[in-house]
Amino acid sequence: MPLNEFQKDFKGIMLRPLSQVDEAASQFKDNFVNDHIPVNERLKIYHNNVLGSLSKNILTTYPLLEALVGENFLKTLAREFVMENPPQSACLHYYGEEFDIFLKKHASTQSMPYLSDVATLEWALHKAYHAADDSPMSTDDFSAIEPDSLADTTLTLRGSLSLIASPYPLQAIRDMCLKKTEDAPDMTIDHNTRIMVWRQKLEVNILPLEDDEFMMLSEIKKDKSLGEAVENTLNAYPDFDFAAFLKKNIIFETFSKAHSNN
Amino acid sequence: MADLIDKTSQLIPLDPPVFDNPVGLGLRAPHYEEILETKPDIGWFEVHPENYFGGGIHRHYLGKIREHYPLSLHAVGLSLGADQPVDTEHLRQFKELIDIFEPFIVSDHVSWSASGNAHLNDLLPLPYNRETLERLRRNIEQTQEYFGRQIIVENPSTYIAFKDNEMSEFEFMNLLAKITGCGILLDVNNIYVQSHNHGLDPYEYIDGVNKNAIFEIHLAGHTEKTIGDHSLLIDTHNKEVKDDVWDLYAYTIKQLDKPLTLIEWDQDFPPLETLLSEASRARKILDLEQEERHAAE
Repeated sequence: MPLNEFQKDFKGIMLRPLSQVDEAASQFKDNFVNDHIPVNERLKIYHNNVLGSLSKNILTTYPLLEALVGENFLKTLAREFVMENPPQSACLHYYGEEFDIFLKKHASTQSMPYLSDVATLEWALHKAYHAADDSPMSTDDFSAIEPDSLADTTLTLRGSLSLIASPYPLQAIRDMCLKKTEDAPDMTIDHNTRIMVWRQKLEVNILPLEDDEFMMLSEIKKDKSLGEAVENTLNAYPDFDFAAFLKKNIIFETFSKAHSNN
Repeated sequence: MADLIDKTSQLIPLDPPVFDNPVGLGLRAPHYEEILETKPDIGWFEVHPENYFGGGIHRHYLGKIREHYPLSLHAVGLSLGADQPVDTEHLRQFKELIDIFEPFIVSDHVSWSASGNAHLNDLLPLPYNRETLERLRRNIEQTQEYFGRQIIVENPSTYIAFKDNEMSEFEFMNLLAKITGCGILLDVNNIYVQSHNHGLDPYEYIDGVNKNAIFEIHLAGHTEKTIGDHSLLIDTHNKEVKDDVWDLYAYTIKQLDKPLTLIEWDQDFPPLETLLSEASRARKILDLEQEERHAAE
């Protein structure tokens, strides 16, 4: 059997449910030595290694989900996710970003619609932990921007930064999962959660945001110039205070660089 | 295979560095802080480069530990045996780490993990035949050219055997080293596992593998899985090295000159003390061998 054909077929077996491995193994009966231990049992070792290690990687990335739904249920979901979405890179800390979308669509999680947003939060935490180092803009960096060109300046958010909007109380859910509180949050009302996740040196932070701050940061993320971003934010939130916003975000080291469009 | 070109004569021989302590440890996240605080007596550390791609907190710790110890980068994701070229983005990120951390050696496995765009995160088996040899030759040469240095490749643990193998695994490893100039990372536990799983003699493997190509030795724990009246050994890296594997190691090093030896442990992490105890055991075996050699002189 040519190498390419063998590897494609083998990959196909690895990404099937365990119940189908016995039948699939028969296609290899002429290729592998079949001795006192049958080929299907030998293939199951690989099958377990592949699906086991990849689904374990998902569980490691999503510990809050595991606390919410239990190890066995999450493992079942993770295995299904892996079979449908195997990694596209050998670097596994890039793997699993779409798990929130998978959960949103999955039939078995429809009674827990908050799971998908919890997964989004967990991916943001994971991404912040592994993000490349980038230097934050300092007060001096901002002072160096000419006042006349400030409106035309575009800011870049730190590579580790994510903005998350959700109707669910994500921080309260997290606190409950981490056993910081035993109070189960009310999931039936809209909590209008707006949070920012990012890393400062070795610390991954979560910060609740006001609606206007969230919108301003979202506009910056869309590469809008500061002038346009402020104008759009003020249109939606007339009390938005840009000076206070800027001061706060310099302290929190939210921006990595400024680009003048002049 | 007489037509195969011998590359070893065209390349600078791969000479392992001499460290005061030839025994190293696989470096894993749960031990970062303790290693930095206690600076244990260990010769060097080895990491999977894929865990440090991009940057982030892991890379910060690796940088701190690298200030105190030599480093080896042992990859699991080049997929050298895949019937496709090595992923250039993977090579780029790997090279970035090589340039930053200046490892004394770079390695991966004689196996495959990628097919098309899917990466299966396991060291999957290969038939030992001419076609596989040619594919590995191309991918190892692509890697060596990209890195501008020779690499070493590790013998895998396997759980199935191919009917169309044209040679034994050690003969295959020897040929691979010969035609690419790469070195061999001899995993003694894998040889033991392999031999049990396929009814082979591990000592014959040790006798047959080309000692001049060996740059480093790996030791790790394995797990036995019972199937009917028989069993397979699984290379789980989650236990102490088994006594039979220590015996095979002691036999192996008699044919080598104080080889660099690594203790691997990749899941169910024990306290650092346990790993240091395993490393100490390896060092004692190496020291004993040296004493016996001196006594015999």
